Amino acid sequence: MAGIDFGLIVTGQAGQGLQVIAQALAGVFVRSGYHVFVSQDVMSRIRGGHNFTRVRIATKPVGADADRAQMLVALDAKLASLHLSELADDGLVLIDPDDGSRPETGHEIVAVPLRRLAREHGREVMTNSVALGAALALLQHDPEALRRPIQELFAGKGQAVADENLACARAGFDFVCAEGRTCRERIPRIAEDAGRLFLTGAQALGLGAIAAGVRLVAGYPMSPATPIFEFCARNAAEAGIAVELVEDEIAAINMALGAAFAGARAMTCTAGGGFCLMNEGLSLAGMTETPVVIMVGMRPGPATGLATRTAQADLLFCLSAGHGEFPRAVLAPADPEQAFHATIRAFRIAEEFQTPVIVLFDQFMADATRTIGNLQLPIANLQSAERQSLPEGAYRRYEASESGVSPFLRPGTKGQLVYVDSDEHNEEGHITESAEVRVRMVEKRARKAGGIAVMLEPPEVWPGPGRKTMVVGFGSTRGAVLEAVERLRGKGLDVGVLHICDIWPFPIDSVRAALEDSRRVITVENNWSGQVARLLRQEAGITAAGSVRRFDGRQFAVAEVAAGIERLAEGKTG
Amino acid sequence: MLTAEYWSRAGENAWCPGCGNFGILSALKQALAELQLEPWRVCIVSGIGQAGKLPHYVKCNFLHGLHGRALPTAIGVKLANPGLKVIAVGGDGDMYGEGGGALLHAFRRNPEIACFVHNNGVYGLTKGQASPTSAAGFRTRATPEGTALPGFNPLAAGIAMSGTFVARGFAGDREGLTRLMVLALKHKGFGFIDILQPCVTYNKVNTHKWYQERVFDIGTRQHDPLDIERALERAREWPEADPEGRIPLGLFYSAQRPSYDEQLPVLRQGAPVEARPDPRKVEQAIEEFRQHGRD
Amino acid sequence: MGSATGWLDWRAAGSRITIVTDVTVVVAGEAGLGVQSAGTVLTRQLVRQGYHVFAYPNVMSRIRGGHNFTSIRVSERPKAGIRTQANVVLALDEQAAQERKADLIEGGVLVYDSPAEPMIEAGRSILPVPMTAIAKRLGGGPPHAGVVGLGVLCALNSQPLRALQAVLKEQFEARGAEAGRLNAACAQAGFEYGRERFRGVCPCLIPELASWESRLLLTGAQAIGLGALAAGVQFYAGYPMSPSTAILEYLAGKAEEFGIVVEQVEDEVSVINMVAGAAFAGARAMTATSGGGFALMVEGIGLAGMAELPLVVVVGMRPGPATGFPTRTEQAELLYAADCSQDEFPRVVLAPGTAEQAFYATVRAFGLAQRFQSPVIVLTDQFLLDSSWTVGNLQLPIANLQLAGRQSGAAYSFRRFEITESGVSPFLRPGTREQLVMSMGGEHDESGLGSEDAGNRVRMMEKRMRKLEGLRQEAAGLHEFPGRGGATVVVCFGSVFGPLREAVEILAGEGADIGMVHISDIVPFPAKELAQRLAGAKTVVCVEQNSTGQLARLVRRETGFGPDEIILRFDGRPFTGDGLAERLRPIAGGAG
Repeated sequence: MAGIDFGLIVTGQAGQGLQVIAQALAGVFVRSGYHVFVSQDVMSRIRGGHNFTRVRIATKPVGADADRAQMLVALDAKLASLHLSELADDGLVLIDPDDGSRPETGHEIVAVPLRRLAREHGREVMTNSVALGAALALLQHDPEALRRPIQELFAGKGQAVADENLACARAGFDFVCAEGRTCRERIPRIAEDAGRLFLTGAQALGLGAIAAGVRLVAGYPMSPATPIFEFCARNAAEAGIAVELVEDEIAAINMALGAAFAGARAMTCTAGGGFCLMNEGLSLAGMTETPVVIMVGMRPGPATGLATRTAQADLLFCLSAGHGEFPRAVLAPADPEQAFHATIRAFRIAEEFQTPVIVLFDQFMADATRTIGNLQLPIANLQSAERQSLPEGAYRRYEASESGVSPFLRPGTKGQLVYVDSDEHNEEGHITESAEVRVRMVEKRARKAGGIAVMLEPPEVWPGPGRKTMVVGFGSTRGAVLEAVERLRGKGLDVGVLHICDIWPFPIDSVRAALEDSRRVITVENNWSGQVARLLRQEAGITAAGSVRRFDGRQFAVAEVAAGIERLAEGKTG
Repeated sequence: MLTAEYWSRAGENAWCPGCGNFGILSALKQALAELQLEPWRVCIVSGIGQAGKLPHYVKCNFLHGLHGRALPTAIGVKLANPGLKVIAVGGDGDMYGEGGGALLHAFRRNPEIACFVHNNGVYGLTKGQASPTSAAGFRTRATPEGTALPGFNPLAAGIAMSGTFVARGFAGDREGLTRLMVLALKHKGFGFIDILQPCVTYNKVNTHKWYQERVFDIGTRQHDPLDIERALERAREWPEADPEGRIPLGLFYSAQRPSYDEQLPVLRQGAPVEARPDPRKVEQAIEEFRQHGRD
Repeated sequence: MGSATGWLDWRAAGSRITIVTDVTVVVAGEAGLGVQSAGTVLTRQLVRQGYHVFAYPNVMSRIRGGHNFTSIRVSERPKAGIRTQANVVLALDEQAAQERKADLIEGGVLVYDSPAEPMIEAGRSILPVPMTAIAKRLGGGPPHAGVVGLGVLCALNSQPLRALQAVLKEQFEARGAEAGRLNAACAQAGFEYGRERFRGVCPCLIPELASWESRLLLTGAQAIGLGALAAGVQFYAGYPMSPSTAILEYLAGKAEEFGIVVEQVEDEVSVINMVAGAAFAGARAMTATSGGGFALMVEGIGLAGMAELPLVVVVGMRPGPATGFPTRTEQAELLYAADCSQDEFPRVVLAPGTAEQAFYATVRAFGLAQRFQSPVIVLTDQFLLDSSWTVGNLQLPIANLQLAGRQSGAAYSFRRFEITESGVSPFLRPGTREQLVMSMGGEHDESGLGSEDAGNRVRMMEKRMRKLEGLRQEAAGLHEFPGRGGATVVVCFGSVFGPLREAVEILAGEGADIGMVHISDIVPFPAKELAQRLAGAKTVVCVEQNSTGQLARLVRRETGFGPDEIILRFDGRPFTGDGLAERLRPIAGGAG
């Protein structure tokens, strides 16, 4: 059977319940054995406007939107015209003919009286469920498959509501069947539930933290990090976490540091401006050698920017953030699977090296939902550093060592006192102004960077190093880049990928090894200035030939990346 | 002269239908019309949240700034150009949470700025987290066990900081709110109004009906805004302890002291934005550092 | 070599006398007991005698006790740094004497408060003087011991006592007749003691010069304050934080006279937002801060970038991270100043090398901020801010302070973010008759109202970033010394200017083929110019006061050139010219 790669767009106003359609369809097809990728485009408002979701259903793993959709479901018919250019020529447009508007297009229109059917079988607010059923019918899939997803989605609102929504979905389904309309493509069940996980980047980050044994999460709402906080809050009781919604981000970082000083694994999660407010605390973590994980979600700035959209423009900021100098790690996972593992790694690095670790993600990665295989808990244990037995009062919090890491004791340890100071301090933890002690302490702290580097995962190189053109990126562009490069290789281009997750301390040797034999290095990134390219030159001395950039707040399309690479690979001006 | 309608700006509104913000917006436009101000003399400084979008819907100058920072920004605008009528606007998360520290100092400083807080007891734009004024036990995705903290009491805080105009209004009481806003805008000092409003999407506890059943006007004859003890008593009246309790509205307290603007000697010389550098004075300042020998 | 009297008699021994070309006097003691005051008096006195002086206070972060000292460098030529060693140490207590004795060059002199007998130790003259006892006899106490000591130095170094008396009178006049009389008497007593007992001891003379021009004596902080006045600053908000507090205090003292609003605010987050508000209102607005205070301001700087607000932020770097060394010096916020805040927007970072440069940089900062409606950071450090410098004159520049031209248009037609070729939109103040100014930290369209449209976002981003082109053209060039040559090229920024210049002078004098490049306009980075400069060099060296080589990183990022060597210092103390020469010598060659 030829592989299936089906794209679907659902659009409507905020508040019309697009997510129900997308999540329910995803629920159906994940359980039918498919790989599913769902991305969201949301305005910064609660009602009205223009939101849309893209759903991609495929027989192989996918990490980016489909270039073209085969179906467009428009809960507000006026919005349909905004997506026609993305619709395949033989794609269908599903609208409610009573909506008062009809898109002018050559595409086939499937008119389903969504609102009428909703009123008849439930309530008008269930228009989205009617559309859901109709869409499934067009895909010629078994309507029974809707039962479970709808039940799960509406469980919190009571059985009556769930039943009504199912009835509405059924009504939509039956209407389309009766009309004999179908999509060109049929998406049947292909396997028993393949047991895949289906989750967003935010959920994966939360899961990673819980798996790592986080004990305190302090945070303040800010898109796109809020879902991580809410995930932890939902699981707080069961996982034994103190989840604190605090008054502002300055309190959040300082509270996390306080908890870590007291010996609890601690984290916070924020974005852009919230991270700005945490900078002083980040510097404090570095000076006091307090382990903390800070999840930073990138979105377009400057300042408030575009609150619900995506960008990758805070990389250099994260590397320089906080006054003074101290070792830090920055991990930039691309997708939920990497997010889970990177988060566990982050906690381990933070604890072992008593250092702040930033897990850097973006709105696209946080909000996109995708299927992944099972998440293995790492075998290596996450136990705290060993307690030493010391003579009473002999503990020195900042005792120098070859690795730069001092033994860690919690305050409240019998017979010992723990002094931690944000001023420059001696090994005991008391304030010093001595030049010699200063130099020793700076060098001690700096030494930890070597150990941190060893803990990092090396960057991904595909299919291998030294292709004529190498495409370099980090974080969430991975899906689109890999697919684009695969496509180009299919056309005969000698191109490869270097994709970086663990980006600081910068993996200079791995990067050089991967790139030194290639003729042309190109970066792909969601920012204006090409921060990866600049970093490449700064740390590895490699000058990129150009960058494929996008900075309009939206994620890359595969075709766009492919075209950009092709253009730069042939030496055309970017 | 100018009607409330004159103060509207054309364009799409991003608030949910039924949002309490509409009542506040309406009262503000009415108040501005009553004061017969001119739009170009008015400047709104707002924070981040649905409330922060208010100036987009009013015909006036505005700076829509950072979360929690409307007050210091507004103070900067006002001190630089005292000729502007400056209004700081934000939600409860913005003014009581992120900006809580600045609020306390604004009460102390007493600049000639009106401050209207859209208090709906929830973080709306970020989709429904508890805010500093959420009812105790308020369950949200971020606080599934219900909030454990008592609500932030901005009126008591304002009174304690010797606020010169500490008031509470209600978005559903257009007339009363407009009256308070007019007073606050005329006030020679920090004109603060905590404005209760429902969030139809995310706060199912403090609904419009819930407020309607509880609010009452403390009145200007029965209540003496110079009486700090009584003001504090009123400020502490809230249904938290007694679910059937009532919610007082009106001007609670008005400490009698000069505004910051009146006390700043520099402002008597004129608006700082108009100050022209005087090269002679600068040269003199430089010369103050000259060391002369031959003593 | 010694004498019966227990000190080095240069007349008898025929030692070389240093006729002052370059003398260092260190005044040391506990905080709170007049050591800083003594240092200030001596500095003033020396300037009045006709010398250039450079004085660096090496101070602990406390109010009483501990150990502080001021290193005062005296010369007939202007100096922009200190030396590693001292010719004379005046120590106001035992501990200070012990700590600073090691600073003395061979043949140097230590004068300290003690009843002991003079002696020679390792080729240095150790001269105890019972300063406190003398002061007490005259009716004073420990704080006057320093004045006695200054009188002794007058005698030792052949300085005119009259000059000291004049400065004392001025300094202590305000405290009343008794204070004036007491200080004068202490100075006199010290002078007589020294003249009587220590004839011929000191091998360095600091006589009054025959002719000289009067000079300004000021700290870097005062220079920046003056620059702000010269630029016509109208609004200052600040929060106390070493080493920037002196700027707040200077401008607060001038506020009423110049019609400036100077506000001490509750915290640095409020500071930067208040400055942003004032800038939005059309005022020339600034603040100064350091370390952690700067960290709290980065969100506000981003607002200035997005809302295109002209504001000036002076950052006085000190050792971090966190609280670090509050009263010492470092250069570890270069990359932070360049990259801070989310996403990207044009910004300027100026890194002046001396107090004089800082004055002009501050004036320029306001001009650039206004003309390009961007945040401008004046990046400096404790060494520059707290040191006292002599400057011949400070010229008032013809400040180009006009904001971009305003449109005259139909009523209520103004669009604050109108797209232009240069990227700079016309600026109007709110309160302009019949026009409205709308601005925001969210992405917006030309009118200033919010927009999520993708095309608009791209156009706006490109418009803002276009301003970089104009900024690049405004950049002051690289400062190169001695000229464009040099097989070894040494690069620095900020206050390393002085010590590096001196080091290069020393090595060039020894025959080394060496040149230096000082980058003062560091963001936008002068990539093309620097690349050209470095292309011809055999060895490239970066010199900076931090532990990770931030300048080296920035150079490599922007030009592709990596330095061959990096010289770092991060103990909180400044580079010295001779110390740097020592470290550069093996790299650059030179006779040594």
